[in-house]
Amino acid sequence: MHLDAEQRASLRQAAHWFSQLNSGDVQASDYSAWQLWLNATPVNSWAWQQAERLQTRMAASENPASARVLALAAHGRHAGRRRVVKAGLVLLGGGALSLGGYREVKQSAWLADVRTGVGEQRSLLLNNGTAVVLNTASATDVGDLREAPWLRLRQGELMVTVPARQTCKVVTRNGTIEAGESRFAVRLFEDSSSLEVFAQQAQVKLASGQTLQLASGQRCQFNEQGFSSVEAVALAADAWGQGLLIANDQRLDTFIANLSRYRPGWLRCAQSVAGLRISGTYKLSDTDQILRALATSLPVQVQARTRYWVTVTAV
Amino acid sequence: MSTPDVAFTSQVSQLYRAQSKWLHNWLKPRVNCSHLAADLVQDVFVRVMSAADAAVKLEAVREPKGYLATIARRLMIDHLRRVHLERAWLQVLAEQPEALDISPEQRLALLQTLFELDAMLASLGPKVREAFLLSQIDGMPYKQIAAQLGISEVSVRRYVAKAAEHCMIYSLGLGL
Repeated sequence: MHLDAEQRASLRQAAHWFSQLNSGDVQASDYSAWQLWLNATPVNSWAWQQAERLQTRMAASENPASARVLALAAHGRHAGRRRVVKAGLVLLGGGALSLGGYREVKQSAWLADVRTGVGEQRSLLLNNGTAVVLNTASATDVGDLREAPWLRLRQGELMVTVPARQTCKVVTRNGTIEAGESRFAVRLFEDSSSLEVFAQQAQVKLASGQTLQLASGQRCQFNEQGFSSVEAVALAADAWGQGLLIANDQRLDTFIANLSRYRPGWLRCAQSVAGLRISGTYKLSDTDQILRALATSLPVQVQARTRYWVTVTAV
Repeated sequence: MSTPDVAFTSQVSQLYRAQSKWLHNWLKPRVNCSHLAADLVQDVFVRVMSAADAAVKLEAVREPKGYLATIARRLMIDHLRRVHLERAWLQVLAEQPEALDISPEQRLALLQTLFELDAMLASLGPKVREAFLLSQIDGMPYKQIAAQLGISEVSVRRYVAKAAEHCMIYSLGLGL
């Protein structure tokens, strides 16, 4: 909109009166002077309408916290990058911050995305106290402004711990998991998703309306077509949430397949050693160390052509 | 669909094919994230298509890279501003959760309002901005603002007027 000189002059005067009348120290004489100005020309009253609109807009942001939010935001811009440590949504060891519900307005997912690379894990704390651990090579959107937060798992796996009297929802392309106080993990596979419940219970709902309730210690696989049979979760299946890989008399090929999720590149074991049994507790943060430990506890050797091409074979 | 629409659509898709990769490479080091760069590329083309007089503007473009980079720069600034505001929001949420203990709809509306205000006030000096916010949002009398900011009451009066004038012109410019 183009403003002419008269309009600009009137806006400047309106701003002066706006300031005067907001000072908290207004005399009766100020009001009468303002009235005179207001009625002097139509452009003046147009300008005052703009001032009133501004006041209305400012009133919309009336909240004890607003000024502080804006001051911090400005400070953040000037101070450059800074990390929020104490926050409603705390992202531990990550760079991106997300407020999914907020982003919904713009219908753009990129700010809501939280991602992990191969071998990386991230923890989030949602506003209602729900703790989320995002496993290796995973991505999720977070909607955290509603009363009950939701997560949309786009890749990989996450574990959710919902506190008492709260709920949380996890959506995958295969269905929706809803839970009150509980601890459970959801993982996305090629054409299905899995739910493993470690405490209390959680419910899966499919687009068709079918539902299935799982209790602590149960797991199932599901997609649009339906549910697999309910099985018992493997021992220590939730250890990754603590950054651990626990094997209890596990076949080596299964163990290596699990481990390879946490390690970039190619990691396989030869058929000749696939059936060996392994037990132990390993730290996922150092897969090199795990491979070295394998070679000392089993009759195998670890052949690393490069860091990204590793084969476990017989000695 | 009328003929100009068809022409416009094919023009945009031609531009997309020719420049989206370049734009992504231009953005990537600037935002330091491949995913964010990819999303911004999409946003840039959405802007190109939804601009007022989009077809006319596109027709007039002599240097497509410059045109796209200009839009991308604006979107990056918007993005950064939003990130800073969201961080600030989260920090305040931790400091005084009771203040933001309002309904989800109210929160969403407030956050959006704050984002708009933040953009509106961005070009003002820190003292002007602060004086204006203390007056308008906290409802503080000028005497108190003066004491808090260590400036005279006359300055507070001048700063608030300056901010108000800027905001009115800014809002009129956006057609708000």
